[in-house]
Amino acid sequence: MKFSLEYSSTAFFLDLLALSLLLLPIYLVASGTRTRQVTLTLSGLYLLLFIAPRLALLSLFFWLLVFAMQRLIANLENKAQEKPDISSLVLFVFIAAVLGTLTPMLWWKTQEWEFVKLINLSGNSALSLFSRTLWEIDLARNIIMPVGLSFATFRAVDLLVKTYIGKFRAMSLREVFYYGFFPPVLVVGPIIEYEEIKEGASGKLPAPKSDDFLAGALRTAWGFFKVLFLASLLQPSAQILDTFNTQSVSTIWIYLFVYTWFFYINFSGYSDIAIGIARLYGFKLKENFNNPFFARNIIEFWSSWHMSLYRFARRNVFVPLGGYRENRHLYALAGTMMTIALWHALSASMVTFGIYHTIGLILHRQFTKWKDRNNISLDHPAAQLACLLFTYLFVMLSFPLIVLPLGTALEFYGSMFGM
Amino acid sequence: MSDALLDLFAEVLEVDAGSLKEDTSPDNTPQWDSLAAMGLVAAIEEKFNVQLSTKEIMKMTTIGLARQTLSAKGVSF
Repeated sequence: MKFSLEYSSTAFFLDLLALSLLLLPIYLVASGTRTRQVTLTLSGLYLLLFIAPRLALLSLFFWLLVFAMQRLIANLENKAQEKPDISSLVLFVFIAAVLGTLTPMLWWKTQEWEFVKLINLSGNSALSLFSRTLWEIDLARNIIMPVGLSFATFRAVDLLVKTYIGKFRAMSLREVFYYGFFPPVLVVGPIIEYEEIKEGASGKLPAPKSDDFLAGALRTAWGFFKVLFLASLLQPSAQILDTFNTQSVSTIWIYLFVYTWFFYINFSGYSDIAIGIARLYGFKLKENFNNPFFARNIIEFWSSWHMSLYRFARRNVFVPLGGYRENRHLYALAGTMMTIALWHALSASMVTFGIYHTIGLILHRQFTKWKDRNNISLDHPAAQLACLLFTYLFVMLSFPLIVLPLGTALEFYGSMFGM
Repeated sequence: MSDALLDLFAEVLEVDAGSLKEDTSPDNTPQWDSLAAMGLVAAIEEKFNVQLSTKEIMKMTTIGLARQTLSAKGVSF
């Protein structure tokens, strides 16, 4: 095997688009919910096979376990309705299932290279048990990262939590796989909820109409334009992360400003493509970005940046930690921000990122209380602009923490302020 | 349509009761932020004289689901 970790999300989306153009006519004719679910599942599986067969095999294994855990929790939860004394057992099983689901991702984030080697070698060996052809194809593939694992993990956790709180009954393997392999969100999200792709009130999946095709095609084209053209144009700004030691203060600030836009346009472009392609099939996925750099305070920013992750954290961390209770609000807020931060990477710089934004949210909350107490209005356009710029600056200053190790990030900050 | 639950949501979220629907949720209502939600939980518990568990609060992600959860606890609107 060649040792390379390179993987192109753009290539994935181009493959998905090509596959979708072939599949859509079939999808339109085969209108049964089961057929459509199976069609989409097989498409997702095929795209993973295309990246590397071992990835498809590992994903199958992962979602098979999720299916078993979902079924177990749903059945226990059902029994607990009749026998409330087993509710502690259900809670225990549920927590164990969530921890089990999180384990591969946590393992990967703490021991990256060991984990990558393990899944590549074990995945490849396991393939030899199923098919010599797939095994040979797999051998020819590069070593790969567990593409999409972080997204799959949170999708799975969301499913288990909703089953535990009684929102979902025991699901069939077909339904769980359909959610697990839903093609548009496989590699870079958004972290969709099952409700976003489930059958409507009619009991059927949405049938794509002409306006879905138009809206989906435009959104997909816009996403590709952002990723392939706009982001590529801004990408050279990333060099500042390596060269800041030799640059002037003003250059660092300008490059960091451009880099934040590169980061946003690139990431949101992928979301546009995912949402656009899903729309071609008639699905209206929830938005993942909503002009985050025009937010006027840090809460607005977090409600408009990587919104699917924010919604996930609100549902599954903030609320369970008691965020809706006055006495636990701040504790839940800190837990939520740390989850969002550490989901990206388990590193000292992301811990700092989490603390930085938690402090920002707390200060904003205190400021809002003080402002309301003293009847201070920020409605004037100049005040709104100042809020927008201040929020942007606050967010921009946290970006080096996302992409640099803590020590280097601190050096970066030193250079930004001429030290 | 207006009832005690919708009136309560309208009052806490500071919106017109007419704009609220059964599928109103934090995802489609900017006013339903974390601070407002804190007020909602306290107001629901006080007005309907119930104690909500964390699991029940987690279920109440839309007004319709809040109604369902409260109905299951014997609250009538």
